[in-house]
Amino acid sequence: MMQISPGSKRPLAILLSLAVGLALSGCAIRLIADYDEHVDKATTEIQRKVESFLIKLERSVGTPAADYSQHVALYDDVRVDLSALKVRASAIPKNSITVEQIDLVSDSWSKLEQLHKIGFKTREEIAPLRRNFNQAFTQILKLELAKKRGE
Amino acid sequence: MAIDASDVSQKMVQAAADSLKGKWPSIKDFAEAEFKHLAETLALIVRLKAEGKITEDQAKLHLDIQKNTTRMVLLTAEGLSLLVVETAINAALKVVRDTINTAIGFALI
Repeated sequence: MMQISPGSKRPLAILLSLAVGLALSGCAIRLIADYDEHVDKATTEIQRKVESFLIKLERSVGTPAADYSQHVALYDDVRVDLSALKVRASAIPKNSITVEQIDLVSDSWSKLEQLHKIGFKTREEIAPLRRNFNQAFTQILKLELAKKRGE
Repeated sequence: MAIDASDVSQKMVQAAADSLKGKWPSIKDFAEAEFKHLAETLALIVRLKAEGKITEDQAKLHLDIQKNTTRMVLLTAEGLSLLVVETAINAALKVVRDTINTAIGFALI
């Protein structure tokens, strides 16, 4: 006879909920959200906007063109884009990982704005920022594309 | 004082591996590359601060952004692991679908 230790109750509960889910759905289980084309395209578009901005910033550090005051609208624009992306991602069931990733990149965007308000003295500061934002958007896209599940 | 990014990276990888134990193999590839970047960023922050090119507040903001990115990499690893588990469960259920559905008398699976 199968013994159930106290520590094994949680996995059992998960399996039971899966079984109930299967009975109700009559189809394959889903532990994570399905692929969403809008999240894919919007993330790619925001990455392009941010990378374009950082390349120009990298080139113009030390000139008036790099001043924060010249780029306030862009910070607001990207913030709106990220907010819209989060709303879309939040509406998809079992999408909490992607939503958390969007929260993190939004936080990074706010911190970039704080850095910019203080001012950049050297181009060397921009290189790791470009890498970080590219890596961040890559992570959202990597997971989103994997959600296609070989389709 | 300059720091050795490679040495810092190795120490972080070892600490993470010790901390995660059984889960480490599933995120090893993601984590090693990202800890290397984290170490490089830390070395750059230390150098720029020493050269007077950034302030303490700026150093903290740079590190916060890097930490967010590292967390995103690990979240992707978590999501990909869930997809692997999902595939395995569905494959297991698929091979017994006909048997179970016939036995229970309706399309349970």
